[in-house]
Amino acid sequence: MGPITILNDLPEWMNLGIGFFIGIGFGFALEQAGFSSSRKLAGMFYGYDTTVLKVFFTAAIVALAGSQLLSYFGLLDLNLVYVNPYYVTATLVGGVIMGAGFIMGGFCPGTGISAMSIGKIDALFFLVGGLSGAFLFAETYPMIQTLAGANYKGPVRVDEWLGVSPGVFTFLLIAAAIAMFWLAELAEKKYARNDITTEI
Amino acid sequence: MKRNILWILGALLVLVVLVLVRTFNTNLFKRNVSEALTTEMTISVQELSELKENYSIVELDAENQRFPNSVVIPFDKLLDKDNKEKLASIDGKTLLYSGDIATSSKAWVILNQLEFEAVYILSDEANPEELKYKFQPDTRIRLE
Amino acid sequence: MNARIKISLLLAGVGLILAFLPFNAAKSFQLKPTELLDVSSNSDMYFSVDEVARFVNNEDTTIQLIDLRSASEFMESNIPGSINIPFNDLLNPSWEGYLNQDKVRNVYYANGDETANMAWTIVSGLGYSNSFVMKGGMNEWYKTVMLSKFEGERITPRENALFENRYKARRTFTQINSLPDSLKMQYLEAKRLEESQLDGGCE
Repeated sequence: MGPITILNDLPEWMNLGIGFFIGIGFGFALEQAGFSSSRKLAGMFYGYDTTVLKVFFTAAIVALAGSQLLSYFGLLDLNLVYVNPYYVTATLVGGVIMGAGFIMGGFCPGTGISAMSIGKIDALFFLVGGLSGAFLFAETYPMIQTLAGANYKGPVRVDEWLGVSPGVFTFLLIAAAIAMFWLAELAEKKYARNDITTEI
Repeated sequence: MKRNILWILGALLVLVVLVLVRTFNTNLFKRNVSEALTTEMTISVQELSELKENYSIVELDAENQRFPNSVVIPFDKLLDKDNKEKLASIDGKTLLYSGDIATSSKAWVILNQLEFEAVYILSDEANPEELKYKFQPDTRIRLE
Repeated sequence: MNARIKISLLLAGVGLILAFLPFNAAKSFQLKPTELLDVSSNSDMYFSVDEVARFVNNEDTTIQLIDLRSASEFMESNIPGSINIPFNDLLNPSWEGYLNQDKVRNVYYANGDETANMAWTIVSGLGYSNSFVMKGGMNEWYKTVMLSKFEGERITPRENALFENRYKARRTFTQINSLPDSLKMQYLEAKRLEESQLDGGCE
């Protein structure tokens, strides 16, 4: 099972099976958290509902703290965890496109699938749009190759860049997250839109 | 209210205990691997007379002892409790010797990663990693 | 008490503990010291130069020779089919795909017996399987494969096979290493490309 060392000896089909059930669990959690509602997701941009920020940041810090601990006890091999390579220009451009798509469509790709599975028509169109975008990207890739590969930094990690230990970085991020949650709750009170929030 | 905080503190305390047990467990490697790559580790037999500090020679090959007054620790018993204590009690440099330098090299990496300090490999040759032969190219070779 | 505050407190506590952990655990040995000592005491980790010569002659693809010497020494002469991973570059993540795998047997060598055995102990300690050492290194290769001659009256079939194997490997070694540097470079590049395609993976 990937980098979790104690599960290394499981047969391939069982590994894939575990992955399958984790995937179902993830989708279920997304739906239960209300992420299949585009109004809830868009709330992040207008400030009346910051669930997106809270859920994803909580997930990130729990995973970060958990993986550090597991690795400390020798249960997880962090060397096997894939670190995304960092293409500065592509990240900036992609971030803007993704953000624009997010606010216009009201979903991000994962939540779009989650919404479609409970039968939302807008999510269906959103996914068709996303897939056409992916198709366009693949077809035009030779033309934008220089842009996509510009300012390549390799698989960098923030803690290495800051020069602190992974543990200290985890602590800083948790502190920052808690401060951010507090601010987010303040924003929710300030920009509250009762007409929407009671509905979702 | 109070009970909730006790639960959280309890969970954290369990975690601290687990971490401490792991940290002070001497039967685990904890050192960063790159330490084994950057450290100066070889001293040759010829350099012994110039060595100013105290040193003790540890022979890993129990059957062919070469130096008088050396500590004999067979390689496969290197990590027995009393042998580890013996190694820890050496003051000055620890020089690992065995007839086959392969054995002392392996022992060196293991001891280095167990955070033993001032451990060296004692080699018969001045530079055990020197190529003693020179390649003689065959100039008649043509690529077909 | 609000559930959010509870979770925040718990996470902050865990973070505080993590901040005091002394090092990055991901880069220390995975094996227990006694386990590592056990595998180190086992002579299964060695291949003799004659066995390596046979791998060269058979162009055995289940074997990857890894030369731990500096790039200049590697260019001067190396055993055909080897790749160069200088010892002090051993932990560079870009070699991870070669070193940590379970498809081919990696045979480490340098000039003597010191560096190769240290590298072997390091990769084995990290838990990489399929690691071996060519006993005696390049010095033994030169002595046995390149320079030994059969001297005697009558040759037994066993000796005959042994020397035939050596002579054949000797010829390949001399041929490849006598190539001019530019051609040698091309040969090595081609080999690397071929292997990266075999390897596949995420990148």
